Amino acid sequence: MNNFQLEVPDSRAAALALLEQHADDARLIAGGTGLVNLMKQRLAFPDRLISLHRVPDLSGVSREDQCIKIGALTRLHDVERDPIIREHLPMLCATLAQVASPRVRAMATMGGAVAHGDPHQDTPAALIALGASAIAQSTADQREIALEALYLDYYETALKPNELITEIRIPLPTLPSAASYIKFLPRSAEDYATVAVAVRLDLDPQTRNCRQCVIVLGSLGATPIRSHAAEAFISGQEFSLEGAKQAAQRAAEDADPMSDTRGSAQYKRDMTVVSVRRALLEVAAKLELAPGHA
Amino acid sequence: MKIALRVNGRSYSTEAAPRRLLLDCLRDDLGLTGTKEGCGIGVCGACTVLVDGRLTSSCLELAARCQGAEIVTIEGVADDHKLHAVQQAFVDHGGFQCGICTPGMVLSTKALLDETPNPDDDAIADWMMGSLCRCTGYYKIRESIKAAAVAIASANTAQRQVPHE
Repeated sequence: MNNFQLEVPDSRAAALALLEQHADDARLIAGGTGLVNLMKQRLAFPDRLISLHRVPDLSGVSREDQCIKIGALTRLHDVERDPIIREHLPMLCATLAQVASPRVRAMATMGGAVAHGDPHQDTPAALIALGASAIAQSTADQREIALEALYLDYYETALKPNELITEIRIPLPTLPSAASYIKFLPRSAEDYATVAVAVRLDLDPQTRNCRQCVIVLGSLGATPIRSHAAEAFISGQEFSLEGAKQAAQRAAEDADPMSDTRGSAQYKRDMTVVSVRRALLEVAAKLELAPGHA
Repeated sequence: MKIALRVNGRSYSTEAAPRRLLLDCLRDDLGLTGTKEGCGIGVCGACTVLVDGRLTSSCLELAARCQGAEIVTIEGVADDHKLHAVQQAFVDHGGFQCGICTPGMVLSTKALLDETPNPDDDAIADWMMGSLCRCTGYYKIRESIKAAAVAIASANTAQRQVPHE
């Protein structure tokens, strides 16, 4: 690991001021599980780290009307165990329970998981499916960025160098809705996904037809990939096994996998078809739709 | 920079660069070599310590960021000369072979039982999946964890039965 200057601001304003001042050569560090590993591998070598561990008021989960708010420094373990999240966002709990190990989840933070920009991580794909956004703050400004628009490339996000994620917002569904996250792991349990699929399905409360379907692929390209083309086979119609199969085929065409130690690109594409179909049938089952067997 | 740490209830002070990992600081600067290095990337659990009660891979944490926190390493688990119930259970039930993973296993178990006093097999497997034993002694480790849970529960019951003065 390279030598660096360590800054430990004790307020949000101080952290933002440091970030503004050193935007080009500084990195924020929260839980550290992502960044320290990158630095140990010499993939990142910042001149300055701004550690957020002393910044107050950036932790905790709350509900405001139809919106769940998660402070950026809330540890993944605490989000997973939070009663509000358990009640309203079971798919997020199920996703977090599959992130690395309990020890990593005890260290890693929600803001870090969103800002890190590693397309192999679980949280971004799940949050995109849930329609989440991030609040990005700088000394002069604050804006809300849909997570769907946050990821640009490997470890590259739309965050400006002087912006800090302070909060993750997740809207609660107003329609009958269910979501699933499937993490395909042929190797060990703490591994990155070989293929990951996050799906959300909202129903029309009268007809029980599919109002909106969101399909997001993880570990299958430089960013999480939302497959609008696949969603079109589900949204606006009655749920069917045939539709799920076609959506799964179409999603795999949007995947852009790389051959690596977790499998060949073709294997990952094939498992994308299987995983998307399973995720769709899983949400259908949660909504008590009966599309027949896979 | 000067780094002041609270470890196992004692105060330590040392001089180290900001990049000093908690793991290296504990072992090389403070002489607390009970914490082991395994993978160095937060996967194996050998370097597990508790920071303010929270499971932590000391190979991924900077010593300088732990100032002001209460750190517990394996050296701080026993009470004077009496082993902690988790340690005793690992001894009684053979929950170790070569011993390299054991400090991390014991601290992970302590954190598990602090949060879930009576874990079932699935809860144990889920929690301990980030602690690797390359001797493959998992069956006896699980037995040790269950025995520790029973021992702690019965000690707590006995304590509650002591009449107040």
